[in-house]
Amino acid sequence: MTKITFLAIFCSQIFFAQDKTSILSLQETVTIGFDKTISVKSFVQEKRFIPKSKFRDDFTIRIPFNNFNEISAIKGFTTNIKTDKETTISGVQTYDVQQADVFHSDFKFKYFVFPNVEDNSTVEYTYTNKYLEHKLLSVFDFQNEFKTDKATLKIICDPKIEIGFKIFGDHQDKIIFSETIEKGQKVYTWQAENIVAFEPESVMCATGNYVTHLVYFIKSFENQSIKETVFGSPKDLYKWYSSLVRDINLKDKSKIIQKTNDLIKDKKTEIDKAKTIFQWVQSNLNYVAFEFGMGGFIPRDAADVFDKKYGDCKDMANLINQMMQIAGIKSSLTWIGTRKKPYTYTDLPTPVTDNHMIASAMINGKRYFFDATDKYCEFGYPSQMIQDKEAMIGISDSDFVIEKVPVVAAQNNLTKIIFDLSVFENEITGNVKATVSGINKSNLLNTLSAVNSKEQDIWKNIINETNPKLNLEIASSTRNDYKEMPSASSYKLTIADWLKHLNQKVLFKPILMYPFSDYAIDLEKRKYGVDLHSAEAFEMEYNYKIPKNYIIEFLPPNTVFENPLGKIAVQFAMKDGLLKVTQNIVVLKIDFSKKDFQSWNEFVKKINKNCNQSVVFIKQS
Amino acid sequence: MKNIFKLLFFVSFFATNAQEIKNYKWDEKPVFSTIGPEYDKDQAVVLFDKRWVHTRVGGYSFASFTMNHVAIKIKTQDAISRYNKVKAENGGFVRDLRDFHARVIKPNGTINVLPESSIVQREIDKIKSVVFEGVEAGDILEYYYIIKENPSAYGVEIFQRDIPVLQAIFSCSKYGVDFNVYAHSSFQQSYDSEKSNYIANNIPAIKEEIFSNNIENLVKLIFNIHVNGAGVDYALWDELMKASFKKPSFSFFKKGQARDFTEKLALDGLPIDEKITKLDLYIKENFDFVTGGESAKKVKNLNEGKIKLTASDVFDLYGFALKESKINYLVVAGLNKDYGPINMDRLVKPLSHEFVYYIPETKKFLSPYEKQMPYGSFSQYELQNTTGITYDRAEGVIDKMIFPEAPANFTTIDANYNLVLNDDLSTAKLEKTVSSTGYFGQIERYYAKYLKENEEEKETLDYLKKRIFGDLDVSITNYVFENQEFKNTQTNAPFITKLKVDIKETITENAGNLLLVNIGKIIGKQNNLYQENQRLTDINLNYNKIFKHQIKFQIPGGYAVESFNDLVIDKKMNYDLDKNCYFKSTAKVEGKTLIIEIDEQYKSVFYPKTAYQEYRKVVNAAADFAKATLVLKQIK
Repeated sequence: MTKITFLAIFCSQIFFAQDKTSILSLQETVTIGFDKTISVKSFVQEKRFIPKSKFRDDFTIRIPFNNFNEISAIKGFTTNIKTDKETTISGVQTYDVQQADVFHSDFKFKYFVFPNVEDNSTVEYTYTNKYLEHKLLSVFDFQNEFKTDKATLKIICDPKIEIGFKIFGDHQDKIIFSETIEKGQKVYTWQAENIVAFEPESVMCATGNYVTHLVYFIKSFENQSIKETVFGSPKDLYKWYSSLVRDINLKDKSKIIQKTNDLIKDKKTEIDKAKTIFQWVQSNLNYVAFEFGMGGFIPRDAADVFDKKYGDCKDMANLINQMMQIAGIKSSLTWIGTRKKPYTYTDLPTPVTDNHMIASAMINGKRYFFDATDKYCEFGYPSQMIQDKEAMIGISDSDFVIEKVPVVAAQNNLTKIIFDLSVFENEITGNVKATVSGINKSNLLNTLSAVNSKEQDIWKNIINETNPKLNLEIASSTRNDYKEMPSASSYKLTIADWLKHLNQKVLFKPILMYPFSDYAIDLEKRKYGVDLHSAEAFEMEYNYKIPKNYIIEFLPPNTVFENPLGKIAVQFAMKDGLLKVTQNIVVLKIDFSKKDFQSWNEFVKKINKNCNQSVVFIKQS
Repeated sequence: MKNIFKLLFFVSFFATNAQEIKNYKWDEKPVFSTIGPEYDKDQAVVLFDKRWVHTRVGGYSFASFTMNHVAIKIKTQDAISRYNKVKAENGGFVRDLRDFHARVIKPNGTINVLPESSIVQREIDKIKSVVFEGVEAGDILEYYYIIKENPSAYGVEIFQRDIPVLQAIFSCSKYGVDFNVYAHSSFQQSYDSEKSNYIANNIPAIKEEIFSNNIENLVKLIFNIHVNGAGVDYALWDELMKASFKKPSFSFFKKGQARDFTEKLALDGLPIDEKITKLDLYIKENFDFVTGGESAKKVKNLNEGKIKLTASDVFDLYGFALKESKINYLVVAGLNKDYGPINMDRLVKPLSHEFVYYIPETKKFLSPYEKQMPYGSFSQYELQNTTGITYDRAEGVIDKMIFPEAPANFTTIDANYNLVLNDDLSTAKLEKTVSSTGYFGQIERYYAKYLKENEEEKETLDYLKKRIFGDLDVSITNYVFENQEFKNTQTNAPFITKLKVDIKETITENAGNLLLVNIGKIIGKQNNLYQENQRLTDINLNYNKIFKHQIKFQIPGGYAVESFNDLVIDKKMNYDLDKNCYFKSTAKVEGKTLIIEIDEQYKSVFYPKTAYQEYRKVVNAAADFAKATLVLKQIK
């Protein structure tokens, strides 16, 4: 029986494999030449097998580009396997890319659909990609949305040029590398076969950690016997970045100076000055992203941004930096990759490593990171998306430091809730008070600001997200934005049908909130690491006034559990007619990998077991 | 002379209208309506939203001019980033941007007009956009733009937003075309010398509700355009039906092939129901629609087995076969009830209408476009209780009919469970058989067939876990489908899924010497309306239905039932005897087995919002059951 099952699975896998679109071959040949200047051009060839023509997306091609590269010579054809007839593509279109979070960009794509595709056809296309800026080269993906039978990257390079490269992601053992000299050119070849399709998962860590890909870049070149570096080290990258921001604030700054002086006039310490400036930018500037040509790298003039009251990350960073410097604070423009980027500056000293800019300052010996794109990020905290990432901090035109942004400790991202409740015959009623701080507070305020007319639901959600049976009326809510105190809310609570009456006994579950209870990982399915985005803590205290004729018969045992990913402490106590239950849950890590899945599930299991316990009372007549 | 005068009149009329929209200007010193206290908590309020479409066709002209003029009061800082960007487009290809102005009006009356240099343009489609500058809470953002486009046959103007709108005005003017406007009931129509105006005041912010016709309820306006002198208006039901359905026609095979096909089906001599059932069965089992990137091909032989056809060829093949078999039929057009009632005069674009056949002799429907639907007494559930437009091909007559509502016993789920706790008294083994009929059965049968045909074993397991067990963490050790063939749909025989699963999560809890078993969880995830205390709109449900469950729980050795009170629920709606829905569960112990039975019935697809609390208590009863526990006690 076991054998039959095994055979059935094996057969189904063969059929399954044939039923999905696959990349038969993917080849990119990059030619890097030098004739007074560096020229980079690549030729891309891809051939796919299309078993089912109904999946139109599988033979719809979009080739992305922007103003730093040119796509040309797009050719392609469909081959009908039955008739061996080829039909060439026509009508390649160009479209602007429209992204919800980017207001204006130069992102575009070439678009075409292969013609006359029938079941079991093959499609093949080629194009040329000319890079107009050798500092902004691309990456090569050995792994793709479809299974890739064979992927080859070849770089043919002038011997005067030194390239750098690094491979990331899974399946690196499948890549075969060779380096040869052909016709006086250095030839680097990487080849991989049978790479499975990449299937993204929810709340996963940066996809670049898993997708098999290679990033290549130019380290240096020799010009008239003089070696010129491009991106040999983080220092070279900073040198380029520094050159881009050298002359960006040339307009009249008088309004910025006046505003800064107004803001800090009563502030005595650098911390207070920095806080006031950061919060003014957070509250008064609105995020509008421009990614057009070098405008994607160079901040706009601070005076313009100040007047217009909008800008993208680098505009906000530049304005903060200017205002801080006016206030006498040693602040810096700071380049950083968000948590979506898997790279470090040491591994990859190129612009691919980062995608964001912030400001930072050293105050009283401590580094502060200022990311005003998070409108409600607490002063002194990094924004959620840059935690645990390397930051390249500009000190001067030539000096910089790389520092890691700290992870906000769980105890600082605290949701604290106190229930003062009374138990009646058929219901439980009372008051609830909640406070939310740290990154949890910033998430709450960002959610409140993102939608109109759902404010009540969002405040209630703090309490009833995991237990919709809780019927709440909001008594008060205070956002406390730009104040160093948590957001606070209070409620009237009623829970109907929560008590079980069994003859003389009364049972109920005193714990009403179950954070993370449905976060168990499917060990059979889940492949990639989980990014929780923040560590956080929940502290709940439940105080139940128990009727005098209820005598406690059973209190669940107290529990303390801790593993590297989380902590739980649940305590039950009955004293003077008051049932007091405390429930503390702490998620210690911001992310975790596959090796931690078992531990995570153990933690979730403990939450479910210990937060779902009943107390039993004897009801005296 | 008379003709020249006429021509001059038309030319000048056309020029006047076009000129007026092109010359549209905002007031130099605008005066805005006051915002009432009912909007105190809103982050922003649209003071007015004026849209004007002028379409001209003929007289060497083929263009539409669209003017949008909007003013938004920003009340809080939070709202700025949502409303401070404007893109001058109207969802289509823009031929020319004629005018684009934006300004910020400060609370003290200062007006800051944005310079033209602040407008940015996309490189390929040339769409222009602008960001308002220097915006603060309290400001009014005002903009207008006029774009020239190619005329569109229709347009949908949605005025309701996530913030309130004090005044919405839609205007249309024309040359050489007619506008047919279908406006939400909030709009009042008026005319001035040049154009038709539709005005709605105080539109509240959008609030979507579950079990509601949210699309119908959206404050919007649809317009369709018909070109004068373009001949027959094929949007009129009379014309559309005649042109489309008077004679079945085919694109990828010939009439002779269709005749051969019908003859080879050998329908002659069969009773009418059998004829149609046989026809429907053959087509549904053998013909697939050309979809996605597939292209239709000429068909050599319709009887050769599995073939892919265009949807319209399939539809007409049914009609042809009925005609050849001398079966009288009506073509019926309907509209998904979520969109609102069908227009009795014409097909309104872009609303997606449904077309089916109705056989008067048997009073049954044939749904060629719905692969899962059998020939039978009921149409797609989306059409139930709505009016359809009928076309009698033989008589050439247009009429109307009401799509019938399928009774609750047509669509049922009958589930049987055998639950045994494992030795750890925490996890369990469960055998579950689910029999689905009616609309449940149709869709489940069709989806299971799709998954099987596409060898999506992983997806099948995921589907079963989600569909049958909801959030319960189970591992499916075995499953079997029964009555998978389409013919079972025709007799409404149940689609049966038999499962054996291991429940991996703990479903019990110890409380002293008591063992609490969360039996309710095994019926799967239930909808709840715990948090939806208020109701703004009527309740509209997909279809009537009955759920019946019988759970047999083997009481573990050493334990006896202390209480099953939690599992006994009886909630009945108090609204209308014929339409009341209810949830009733009972429990009894027989030997070492606890037997729980649930009867949950929904007997109407519509309840007025006044009956909401009654409906809510039944829905919540099912959700309560899913949380209910059995209490066992240790016996010595």
